[in-house]
Amino acid sequence: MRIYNIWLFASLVIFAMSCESKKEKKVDSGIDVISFEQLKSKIDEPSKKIKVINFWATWCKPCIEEMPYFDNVAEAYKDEVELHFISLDFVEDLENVKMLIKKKNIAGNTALLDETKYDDFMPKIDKSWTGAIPATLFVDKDGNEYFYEKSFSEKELSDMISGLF
Amino acid sequence: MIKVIGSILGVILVGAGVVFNAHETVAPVYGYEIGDSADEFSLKNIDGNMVSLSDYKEEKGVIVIFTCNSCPYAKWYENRVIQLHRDFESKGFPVLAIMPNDVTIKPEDSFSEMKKRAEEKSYGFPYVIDETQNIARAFGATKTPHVFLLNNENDQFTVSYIGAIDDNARNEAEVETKYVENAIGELLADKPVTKTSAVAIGCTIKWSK
Repeated sequence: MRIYNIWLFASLVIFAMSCESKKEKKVDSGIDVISFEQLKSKIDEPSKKIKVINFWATWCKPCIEEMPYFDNVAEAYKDEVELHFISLDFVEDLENVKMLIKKKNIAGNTALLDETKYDDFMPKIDKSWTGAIPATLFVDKDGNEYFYEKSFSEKELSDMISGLF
Repeated sequence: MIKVIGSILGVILVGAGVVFNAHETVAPVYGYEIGDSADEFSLKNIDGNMVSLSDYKEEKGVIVIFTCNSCPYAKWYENRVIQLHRDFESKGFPVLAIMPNDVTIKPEDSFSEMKKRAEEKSYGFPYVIDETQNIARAFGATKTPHVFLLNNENDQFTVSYIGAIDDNARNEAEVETKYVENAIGELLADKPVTKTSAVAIGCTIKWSK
């Protein structure tokens, strides 16, 4: 009887855990559509972690190639880093973004920036941005910003982030 | 003796440090700024002939556009680039399209594909390949499409505008500001260009590794 109870308890726990992971997955595949103001407050909000904000799009091959590196490095430094993937796809293409995130198994938090007045918002992210993607903004714990209009290898990314600790 | 070894070691370490730093440099600083004169270049056109900047001495200027076949943004702008040439060639501002990508990374941008695309769409302007990518580097082009409007001032081609063609890539009907056309309009009226740069999204140039 006692063994049966333990079994019952164990299976309940496993069942509850599987429900939980299903629930998380569902949340992960949901993509927020955000305004520039919302993005700006994400960037400016004080944080105890280093913020890594990666700009990408579904049509940008080098962007998609480097996304797993961001996921890996964010996972390796998960106590120190918060990762945001910001899609610059058009809001009409939101489904493509969702499909790609699912297909490539991207774990990082993803939002679509619904903003096409590039000449207005890009200089507010960084004055040096000419508009090419991938591009990444790093914000250290003191709020200092480091912007790179380039692709990263996993090692470069890891070195970059550990340099901001 | 120990001193000598020490100083040799020191030199080696300093030397190694320099090499390490050079390796760490993220991106070289290059590229023209507004007001700079573009240097002469000569690149192979899809018809096999070379096209040089000095070929445009009789023109009022040149609309240099770094573009390619493969980038979706370049595709969205293709018809507008063709139209720019049709509208402004007769006014002294023809288009010169330069394809800067490493074609081993983007085979869709190969010389034969460039030729095919230009014929299909009857470009009417040169579509040249920057095989060494040195011209893209000299200009400071980073993406496709990326416009550099040059104004011919006594055979010096002065960079007068850098950036996007207009402010709506996806939907031409919703364009509010035509940056390149406005800048040419001002140059034709002998006025200074008021908006000398505008950023827009684009595909990173596929640099050779």
